[in-house]
Amino acid sequence: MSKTGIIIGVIVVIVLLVIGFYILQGQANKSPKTPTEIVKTPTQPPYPSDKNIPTNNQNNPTPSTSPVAEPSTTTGDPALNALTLDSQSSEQDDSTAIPQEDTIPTPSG
Amino acid sequence: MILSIITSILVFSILAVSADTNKNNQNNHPNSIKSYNQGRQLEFALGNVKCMNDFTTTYLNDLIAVDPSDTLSVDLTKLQSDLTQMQTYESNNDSDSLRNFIKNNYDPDLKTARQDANIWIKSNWRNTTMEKRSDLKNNHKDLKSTFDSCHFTSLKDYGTGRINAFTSILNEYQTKADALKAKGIDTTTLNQLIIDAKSQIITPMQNALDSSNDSATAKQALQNYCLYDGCKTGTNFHFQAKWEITKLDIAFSRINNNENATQVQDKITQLQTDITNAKSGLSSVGTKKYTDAQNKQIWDNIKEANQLVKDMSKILK
Repeated sequence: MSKTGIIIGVIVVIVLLVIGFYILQGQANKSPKTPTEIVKTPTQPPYPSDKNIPTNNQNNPTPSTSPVAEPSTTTGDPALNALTLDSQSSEQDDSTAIPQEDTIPTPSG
Repeated sequence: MILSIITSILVFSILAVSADTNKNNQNNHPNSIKSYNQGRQLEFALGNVKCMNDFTTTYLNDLIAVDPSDTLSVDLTKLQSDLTQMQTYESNNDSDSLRNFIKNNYDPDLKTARQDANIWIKSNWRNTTMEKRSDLKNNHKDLKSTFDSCHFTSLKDYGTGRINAFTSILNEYQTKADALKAKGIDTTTLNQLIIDAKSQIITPMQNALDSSNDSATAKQALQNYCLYDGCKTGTNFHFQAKWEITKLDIAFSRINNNENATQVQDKITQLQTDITNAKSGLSSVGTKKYTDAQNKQIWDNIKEANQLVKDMSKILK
């Protein structure tokens, strides 16, 4: 019983280490923000002037004066990106690789 | 009970790692299909080369056995080293180098060997005994019979490999079209392009190959149908250019219908011009092989149009 208990204990520790490793790895991938950024985000909104945009601006937008209307900050159309050039940027040469010299020597006489 | 729980956890962990590995493998799947088919094509192409090489080198050896010739020995060594070089290209999946080597080295070396063999025959035939002449003729007859069979079979195998490769390539493009559809893009024209490629290249090539009954007709079947731009005579489908232009048409339509299209009107006008120019160039090529100028004109327009779509994709929501 004690031997079995030790074996079970070792296996449980290994399994917990593997699972722990994957959980930590997953969290690392999901949270690219630095701790500093996380602290700053709630207290420093990126666009303070958003609060001052009048509600009727939706009907009459003024891009030149509104910081949120700047086109370069949009995420763009991902579907359009998907339609751009494939990695192959020219037509392939798919000619056959066959010897053209079909004539074969023949003995005379 | 405890053991079963631990075993379950272990199995789960192994499955998780395995699933991760499979995911990575699936990402590489299209490339592996392409390289597999390219490899199979090269293998069949080399099979055809071997038929010719076996015939010629055996025949040269027969002549040298009757009367040694330094010239024929040099030819023989050259053909053997050529074969080694081509086998290296095959094992490296290097189709461009193999194709160029056959054209620029192997074909000229075969021609030289044939000419030297004919010179040998002219010079030595009268001095050769009747018995040896007869042996040479009989050997040649047997060799030619073996060659004809080998040549025909290898060409048909090569044709089958080519058809399989084209089919796999089009299947990859079908997967790409399906992925675009999943993003909400109308892919009707892309699907139609794939259907056209099958009906204009794969089906007639298969029919021509099936009905071929000798090396000449089998070779013609192989050389008459190209999915891209490899046929000196016959039909070149120019699939890559058509695929890109069809995608540009879809992108143009999407951009034009965007509510903010007026923000990029200049780029839209230029995009339309580029697409029209690319289509016009492709139309003038038809099913022939590109000239260098046509190739440049078509692809310069496609590349410029793509850059415009990329630029606009960052601006338009």
